[in-house]
Amino acid sequence: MLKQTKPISDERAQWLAAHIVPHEAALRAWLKGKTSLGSDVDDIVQETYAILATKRTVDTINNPKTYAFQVAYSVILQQLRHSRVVPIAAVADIAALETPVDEPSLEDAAIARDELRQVEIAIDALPRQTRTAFILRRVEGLSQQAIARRMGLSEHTIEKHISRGIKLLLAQFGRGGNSAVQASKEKERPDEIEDSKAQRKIPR
Amino acid sequence: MRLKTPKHSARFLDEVAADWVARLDAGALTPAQERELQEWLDSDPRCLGAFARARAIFISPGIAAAIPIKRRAPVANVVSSPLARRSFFAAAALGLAGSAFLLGRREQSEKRLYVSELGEVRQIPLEDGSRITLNTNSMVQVEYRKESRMVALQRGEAYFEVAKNSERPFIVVGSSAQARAVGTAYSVRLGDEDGQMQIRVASGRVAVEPPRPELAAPLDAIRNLFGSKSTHGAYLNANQEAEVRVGKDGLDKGEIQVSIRDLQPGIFERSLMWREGLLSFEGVTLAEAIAEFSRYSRQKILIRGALAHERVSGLFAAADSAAFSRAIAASLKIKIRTEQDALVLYRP
Repeated sequence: MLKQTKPISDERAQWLAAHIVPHEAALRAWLKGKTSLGSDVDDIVQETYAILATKRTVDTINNPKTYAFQVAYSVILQQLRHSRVVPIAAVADIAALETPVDEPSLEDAAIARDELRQVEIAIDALPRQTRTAFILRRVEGLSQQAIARRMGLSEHTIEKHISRGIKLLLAQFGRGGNSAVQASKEKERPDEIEDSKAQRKIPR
Repeated sequence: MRLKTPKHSARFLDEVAADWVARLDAGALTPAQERELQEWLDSDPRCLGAFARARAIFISPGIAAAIPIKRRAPVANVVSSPLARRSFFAAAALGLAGSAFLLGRREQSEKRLYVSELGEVRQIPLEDGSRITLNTNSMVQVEYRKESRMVALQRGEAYFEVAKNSERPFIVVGSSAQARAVGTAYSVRLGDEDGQMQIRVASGRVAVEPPRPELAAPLDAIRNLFGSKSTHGAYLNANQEAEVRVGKDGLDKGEIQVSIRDLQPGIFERSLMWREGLLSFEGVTLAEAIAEFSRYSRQKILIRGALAHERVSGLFAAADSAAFSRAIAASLKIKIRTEQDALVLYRP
């Protein structure tokens, strides 16, 4: 079967990484101003990604940022339609929602810078082995298997480290503030991943 | 739309998504895992969204960009980071013993020496598809080992276009530090002072690290960068420059210092014109331009009077100091005369 083995193609993931991820912080900031609508920002962002990930083609999207905002907006509207009681504030806010989404602004640049800082802090706060594994994977480009060999750990353990790194980034990315706590909590965890199979291989 | 009960929190979905992304990244899924993933994704559009977002963020270039550990100083534009003191001695030893360290004991690997003459620019294609362009009056020794590609820059300057192979790092060892490529194009130049080096990155990233004979295992390097307090290195991104020099720490002991700064757009491309035998200046002082020419030719150019700070711009043949002098004389409305073997620029 020629169907893709991954539920989301590499191309699409790369497109999201290049065109949507950089605007996520701005999108969240915009959505946060609409909290009176009773929707959860995280939920809307996830649904937005779902729509963008499953869209048949993204070739026709000229301005991914504007498009992402429009999709998020449509998600809110849909949620409003589905909820039985629409909060009164929401009705007033719908007008505010209609404001056209502008081109990337200076404010966006500030948000992006701030976000880079947040991510730096998050990475810095990772436990040492997790950070090492994550950097070997993402910066040095080694495969998980190669990292396992290098660090003398099982592949399973490396996968856990990578997963932990991703979790922290997901919590951090675009959300800024509240995850700094999370980052410092992570740091207090023991460095080694607890796992039955995760024992250190005996060096030759 | 199906009823979502119980509704999981976004954070919970993120965690499941992260596990899947890490597993996919580890290798192909078994058919059972594939089914499991598909079922989970189908259970709620938010799952698919969380998964798409996790994959995108994991591969996001922004993440890699956030990783440079040595941050640029926001105001002074310069950061001094002490490399390990012991690396200073390693560097000193390296200076004395030259490439002695590069003699691998474990395996017999061939070492080749490449030299360029004054004014010559030389292309050196390497067996793995990497390419070295040697600038004037420079010398590199290339040693391809099984686990690493070692290049000792012994004199001058070179530009490296590195074929990506993360299992076999490409390492340029200079007088005071090594520049390890992570799939990249970059230049390394030895300065006039002892231990002075300049590293500029055109694409990809380069780790600037203490030189270590045993080096090269990325893990060691990573430990260098992140492990002990006394040893720091720095990651350089595209369009950044690192200056390495031997300075004094607070206790007046020698230490290797690295400063990193962003290159203005176009500067690096312009400076790389030497690969075509050209020198490109834009608003540099006449003294700087002459110093640059002296790297390429024995023909001395001297200046008399207060001309050193005149600004010059233009594109010149690196090997033709006389043509450069004539062009400068014309544009600054000054004169040239010959004194013994030197060209002298002066204002009459």
